[in-house]
Amino acid sequence: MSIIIKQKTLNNFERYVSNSNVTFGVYSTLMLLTIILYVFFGIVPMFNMVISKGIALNEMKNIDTQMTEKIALLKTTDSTVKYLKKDTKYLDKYISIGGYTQDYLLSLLDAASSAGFSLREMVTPTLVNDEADQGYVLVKMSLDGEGDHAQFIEQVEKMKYLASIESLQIFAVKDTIDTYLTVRIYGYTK
Amino acid sequence: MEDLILLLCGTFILLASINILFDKTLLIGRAKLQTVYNDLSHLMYVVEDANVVKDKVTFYKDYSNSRTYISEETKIVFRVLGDSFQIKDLKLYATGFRMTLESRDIISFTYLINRFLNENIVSSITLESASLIGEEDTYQVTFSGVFK
Repeated sequence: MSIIIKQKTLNNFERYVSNSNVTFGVYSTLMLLTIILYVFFGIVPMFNMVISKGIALNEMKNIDTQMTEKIALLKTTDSTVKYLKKDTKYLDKYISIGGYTQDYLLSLLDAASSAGFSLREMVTPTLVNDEADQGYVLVKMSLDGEGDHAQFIEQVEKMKYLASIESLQIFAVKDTIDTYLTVRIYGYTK
Repeated sequence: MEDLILLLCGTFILLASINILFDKTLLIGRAKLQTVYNDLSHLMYVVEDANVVKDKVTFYKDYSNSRTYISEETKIVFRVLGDSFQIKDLKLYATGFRMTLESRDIISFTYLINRFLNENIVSSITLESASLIGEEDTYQVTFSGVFK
């Protein structure tokens, strides 16, 4: 009995499907569904991917151009720096690097003796830092002799070292004159 | 309908081709960029060297511009003092001076202050103390001045 019912149902379905109007509707719907899936899950993501890759390529080209320009600039700078390094040796001579002031102290002594003074005492300079965290060295020296103070100060200030006179002090003690000079030498500490 | 299918197929094939082309170009570009980056890394020492030179020059310029000089003031002070006074104590600094002088002639101190003002290097002079030393019959005057 059940086999007969199944056969009948199948026959009815075959008859329904063989109707061309129905078939057209079914296939059209399936085709539209396929097109929609193809467009939304195939073409649109692919298009987005192509666009983002295009943008990445463009950025890469820009970076490449910028880096190439930087290399050219660095090569030019390299030759300039090499050329300038010869001159910075002279600059180093006049900048107290890390509190190294030996050359300057010798020049100070030279200036003192040519102005008619002799060195009695010199306080060993130490590197200190000011509020701006910039290093400087305070040199305190006491001199004997009745030299020319104005000439001495002029000679000290003519030096190209980065130093400025904090104070010049003169004391008359009995028949002798004591001269004290305090100089601040700016130090390059980097 | 056939046209639509052909159009979709064509679009897909075109996009796929562009995608493959971009992929290859990106790979080549990446390799080239790596080479350029390596070249750039090798040249980074130039930046450090240039910064050191720049820092030193800036440091020198900044501090040589901010240096204070007192040689002109010192010359004038000693010229004004001349030989008429005995210097007991004199202190010169960037902004001014303080001195204690001795002389037998009290008027000479007035002339001295006058000469300082005429030289146009001080903005003010303050008389701090004046005393007569009886034993030596000399006057001792202390005064300070502020440079212009």
